[in-house]
Amino acid sequence: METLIEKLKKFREIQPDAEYSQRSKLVILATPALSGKRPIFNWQLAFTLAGLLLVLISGTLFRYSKPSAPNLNAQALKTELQDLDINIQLAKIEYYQKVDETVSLALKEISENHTGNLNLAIPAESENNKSKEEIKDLLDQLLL
Amino acid sequence: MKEEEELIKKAKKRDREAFGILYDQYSPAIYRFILLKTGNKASTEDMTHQVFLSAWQSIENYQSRGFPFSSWLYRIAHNTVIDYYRTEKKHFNLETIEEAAVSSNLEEKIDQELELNLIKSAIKELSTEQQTVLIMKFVEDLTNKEIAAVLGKNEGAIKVAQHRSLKNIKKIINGNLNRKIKEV
Repeated sequence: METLIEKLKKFREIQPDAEYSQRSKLVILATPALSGKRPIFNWQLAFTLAGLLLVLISGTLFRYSKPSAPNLNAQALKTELQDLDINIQLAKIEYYQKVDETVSLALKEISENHTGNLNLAIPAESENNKSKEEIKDLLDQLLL
Repeated sequence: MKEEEELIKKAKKRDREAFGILYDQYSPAIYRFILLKTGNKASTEDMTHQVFLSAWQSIENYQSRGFPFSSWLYRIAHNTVIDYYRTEKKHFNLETIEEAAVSSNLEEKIDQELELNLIKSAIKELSTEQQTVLIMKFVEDLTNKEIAAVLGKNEGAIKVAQHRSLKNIKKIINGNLNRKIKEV
């Protein structure tokens, strides 16, 4: 076994042709790098982009995925929403009609009643002014 | 080692001279490694060139991680040879291998060459992994740790592979010798 190992060691004397080596070396050194200077791998950028991609994918999936509740029907919901809108509009119209009726009734009542009594405070006020003048006259007489 | 680190640092900045020094230092070992696996001079030259070209083009990605630069080169060489056999499926006659003369004595030289050719052909009959382990351990004197790094295995597995490769090569050599004797 040792003899074999010794013989194997003799293979170390094998050398390539000097001319070949020189030629090969010159050709190699004249060859440019594969793609210039390779960009340094940026882990932070990679993770950010991966996260962004994940958000985009999950967003797209969420948008186009069907509702998980089996009883939910998009068409039925849409119809229901449209009906709801009509109902709201009808309620508004009904309210405005009632207001119009009340206002017109009030106006009719006012026009039919005596307008002189519209402000009951005016005669009371004039009566009050009269008594004040009487008091003033009495005071003047006393002072004179 | 520090000197080598400095050379690598410079080579990473596309310093041709620094990479040239690394080439001169490691190309003979890589050449031997490939030649002993393929057994063909022309293919070995092509593949050695390819290994160092790949190394020069991607040296910016090299990270030491506690292993010598040679481990990285051997890993490229190992993969290059695997790719070569996978795509080309070529087999060459080992008798065509040329090597430096070991002895000045002609008779001794012939004996040695015959012996070495016998071993070379036996190496070729081993599995790719056993070839790599045998060459790295017994020809290039690499440590088990370095071999493990090249093959991506643990040191225990390398020890087992060493034992098996020696056992198998001995068996192959004996078989080939007996066959040649019978032929004669």
